[in-house]
Amino acid sequence: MNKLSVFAVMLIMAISTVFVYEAYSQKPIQGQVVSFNSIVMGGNGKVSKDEAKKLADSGNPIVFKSGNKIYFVYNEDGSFAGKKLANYASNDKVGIVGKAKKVNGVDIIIATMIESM
Amino acid sequence: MKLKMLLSLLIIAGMVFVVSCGSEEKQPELETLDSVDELIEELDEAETHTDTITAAPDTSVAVSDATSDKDETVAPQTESVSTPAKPGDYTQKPLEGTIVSLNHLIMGGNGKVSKAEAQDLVAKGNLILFRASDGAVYFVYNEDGTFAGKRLAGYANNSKVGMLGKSKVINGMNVFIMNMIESM
Repeated sequence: MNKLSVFAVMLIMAISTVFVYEAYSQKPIQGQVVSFNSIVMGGNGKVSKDEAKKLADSGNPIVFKSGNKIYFVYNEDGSFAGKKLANYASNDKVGIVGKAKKVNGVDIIIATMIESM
Repeated sequence: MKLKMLLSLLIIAGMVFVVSCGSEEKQPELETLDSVDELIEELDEAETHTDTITAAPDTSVAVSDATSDKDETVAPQTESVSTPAKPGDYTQKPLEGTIVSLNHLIMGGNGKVSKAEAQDLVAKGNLILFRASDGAVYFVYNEDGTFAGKRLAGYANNSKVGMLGKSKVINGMNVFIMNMIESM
């Protein structure tokens, strides 16, 4: 029983190490958190964390800008990550690890990790 | 005793190997060609394709089918070529289409949601969009600059919806500044 427990712990540790390594070994896409409303209205999209949170809470899209591209960021469960992104709006540089794809002309990132850089 | 320990380590090593192999990016498979003529035809098509890319503006995109165009690990290096969207004036004649959920489109669905579902999605901060009859997807805004997802959700049960306003293309995405929305 005791040996089995040790084996189980070792197995879990090995698997989690691999997953953590996988997440960190992927190169994050770097950019800024911006308000899509602001961009639509001709602005540069830059908003503070508080403004972004307020916008996200009232259903306005908070998005991720990398270079000239605007990405709509989604969580792995398929929900829009605007509210989560809003927390990083004050950061100059934000990195997102995940998968990028284009759906009906819209650039999407399915994010596994968001971090300030 | 030692054998059991060795076996355990062997299993762990095996699992680590399997997980690591699973993350490797797949190389695209090469297409097989039946004849030299087919190869020449493909090369001709490729040349025409390159010309189109050069002529198209950087913000080209939109108007495509309901399925995803590409799927890749961050960061994307290549740009898929699709029909460039054009700004349009719909102040007299409405732009017709349906209300869709971006979440559903991303998950591979057709985007169709009921009014109740759409309102629930909006309440949770998700995006509700408009898909025109030609397949183009629009981010709809009110004239005051606020996102109109909440307003659109109210029309999700309608099989056809018309919007008056003006469309524009921003960073390759279609945006519609709406004056009026009605079921048709």
